[in-house]
Amino acid sequence: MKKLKTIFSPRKLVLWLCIVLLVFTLPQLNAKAMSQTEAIVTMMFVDKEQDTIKVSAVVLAPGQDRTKNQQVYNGEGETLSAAVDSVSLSLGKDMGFAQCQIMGLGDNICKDGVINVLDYMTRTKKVGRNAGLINFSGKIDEFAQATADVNTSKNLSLEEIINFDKRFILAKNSNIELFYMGYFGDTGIGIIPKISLLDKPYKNSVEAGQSGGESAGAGGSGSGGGQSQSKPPKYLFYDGTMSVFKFGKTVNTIIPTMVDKLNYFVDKNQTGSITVEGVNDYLYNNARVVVNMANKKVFTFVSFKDGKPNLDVSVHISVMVEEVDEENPTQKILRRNQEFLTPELVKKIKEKIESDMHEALDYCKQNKIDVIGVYKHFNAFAYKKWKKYIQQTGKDNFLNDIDLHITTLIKSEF
Amino acid sequence: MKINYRQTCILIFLSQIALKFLALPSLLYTKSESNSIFVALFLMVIDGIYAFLILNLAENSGEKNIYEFMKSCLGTVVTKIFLVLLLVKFALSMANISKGLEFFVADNLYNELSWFAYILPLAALIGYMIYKGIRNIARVGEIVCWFVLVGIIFITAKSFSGAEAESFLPLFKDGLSPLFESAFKYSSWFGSSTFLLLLFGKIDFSKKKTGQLVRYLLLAIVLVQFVYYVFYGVFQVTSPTHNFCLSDLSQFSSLHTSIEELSWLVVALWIVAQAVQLALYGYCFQQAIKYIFNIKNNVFPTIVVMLYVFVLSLIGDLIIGLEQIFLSPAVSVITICTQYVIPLVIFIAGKIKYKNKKPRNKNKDDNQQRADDVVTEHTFKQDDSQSETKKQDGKKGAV
Repeated sequence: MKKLKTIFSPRKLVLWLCIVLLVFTLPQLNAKAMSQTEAIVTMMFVDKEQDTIKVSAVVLAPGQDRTKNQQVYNGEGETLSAAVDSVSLSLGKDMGFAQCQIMGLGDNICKDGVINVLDYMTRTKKVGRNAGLINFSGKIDEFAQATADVNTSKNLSLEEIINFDKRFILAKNSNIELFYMGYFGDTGIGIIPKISLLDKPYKNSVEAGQSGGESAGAGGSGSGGGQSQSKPPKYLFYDGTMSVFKFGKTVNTIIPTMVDKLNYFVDKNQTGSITVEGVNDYLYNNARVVVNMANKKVFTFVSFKDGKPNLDVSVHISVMVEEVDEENPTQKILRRNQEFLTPELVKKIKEKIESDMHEALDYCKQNKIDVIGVYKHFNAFAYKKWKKYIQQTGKDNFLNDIDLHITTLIKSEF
Repeated sequence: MKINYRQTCILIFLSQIALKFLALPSLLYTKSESNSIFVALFLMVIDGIYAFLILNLAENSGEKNIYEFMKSCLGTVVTKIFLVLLLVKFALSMANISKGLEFFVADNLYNELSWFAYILPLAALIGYMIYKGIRNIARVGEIVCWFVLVGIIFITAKSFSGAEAESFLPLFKDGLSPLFESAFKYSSWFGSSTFLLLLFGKIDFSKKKTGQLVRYLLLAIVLVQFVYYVFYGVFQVTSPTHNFCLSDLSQFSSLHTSIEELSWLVVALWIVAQAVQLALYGYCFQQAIKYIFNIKNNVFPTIVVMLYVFVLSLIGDLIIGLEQIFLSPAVSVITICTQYVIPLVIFIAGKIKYKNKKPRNKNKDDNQQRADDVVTEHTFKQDDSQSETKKQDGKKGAV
């Protein structure tokens, strides 16, 4: 006992600590640097061509020229793991996915179902579930190269583009976690941005660098990388189009104008603009007026009337008149310190919002996609009646009998 | 060496939160969905009540340790059976913390965790803390407690705005039965006051303030409820897939700050609190071994605990489906029995046995008090540490 106490006396403990540190640190001096054994993947793209899975990985190459520090490596295989392994072989390193910020899914694989892909990437390869998720169209290797070039030569990143987008598109981050939430939710709906690759520039497109970038190892085991090829520039095109998934498979694409209409139902979406035509009163002369939404609150109430579900949505918006387009503007419009929100304009804005919201709900009914959370509201606030109702209609047709009642309150931000 | 009342409260607080922020919220969700928040509330309130009961009994037991006290009330055979069951309970709690900690470190902190580099320092640390005694554990608990508290609030508050209150509705949609099933199935994660039984005779009640205990219990309950609200509100239906509550919350924080690294610092600090908790249960494990086998010194039981920590890290690889064993009804029955039935039986037996005796007079010195108590014959000799306590009594109070 006394011996033990002597061995573990405070003075001896310092010695013990040094011994333990030596035991653990000395072997590390001989260890290889992690960058020598593992490649840092910043973006990962997956698609399918016939029965072959194709992958492209954007890999960070530290210490090189900034304009060339992201390189693309491609691989393919019968299974996803075989395709990823083929990229590893061409790289000569393991692929580290912990820093992967974007997961891109091609059109073909989206149609077939993406849940297994996401499961493999998040569970086996440990891609963070906060990584952005996008649907892309076009050739996988070209798309990966374009995004790598945008990141390096334009000081932009796809992540920034889609994260900025969350302010406007249904007010949600697009990431794997949210996709899972939709998938495991009652309706199975998930929404992610759809980005295209164009040969010619178009509005909202981002040129993917003039260099043509470096394309490496087109699949095949151990095919090596780094062959420079000169290619014409491609343009990433994103205008807010969204791909809608139902239980992991694409079912629809929502165009940006419809996204704006759907956004009226979403409380968290605080921004956007409303355009009304033909405003004619003491201030405006048959004008087209654009108002900016400065603040928005959406209150949703649910009830049942004669066994039918009623959705009462109250939209409170603070607006600011931004742009007035009229043929013969008078001096009145130039006057400062006056209220530009006239009763006629308010009436027009209300009409516009109500018609847009009805149109949005009709769109959802027609396509059987509940992207505005109708199921969630009824399930939360009228559970028993809703459960009974769902038993009658089935989960695919529950939107059909929804009666929408809208109340709007327009306030001036002036 | 005794611990004071405040240190006891801090150990109760740490014990209340220790197992709650790893896999428990996700496990609870699988049975009772977002209503799991009420399961946690219910079981934590029960744990709080038991903390009062056990501390009341410990105060009235005077200088007797749990073995002596139980023996005087229930006899040797029942005492040994109860101690064996308590040993199982602490072994399970240690396994729970140890496996959770190992998964967390291997999955979140290190890409390739060396088993040797992980288990050797951990077992040495636990062994040393246990060997040095309960006051050492309590002091470390005192140091880390507030950092852990502030850290957890910081991590959770960052995600607060992302939590959707609507996701908790409808409340109790399938009635209360899923909640009770959940409470039964995951009872091993609760029962955080049971360790107090093994601290009989080691707590100094001279500066007792009941309000202090209430405050610490409330703090623990509010903290756990806050974290669970944010966790379920943020992750909703994907909650069952998030096995690391705090680190996952940190990863999905809706408020991105330029000091993200701080979150990991907090998580690292929380690991220290887990180690303290492991040491606390290890200490109770060690004490139970001493009482059961009538061992007088600390060395052998400490080595057993250290070996157990080693075995725990191996057992997950050797036994496939270990988690299912933890979640089996048999384990739930054992834990409920040890957490709720045994303390209640001891409490009732103690109250019946000593119903005519006045509570221990705090102003009297211990020797006088011992003479006043009706003490059955002492077959169990005081261990080294207790005899040290005796020598120091009167010279100085507990720190």
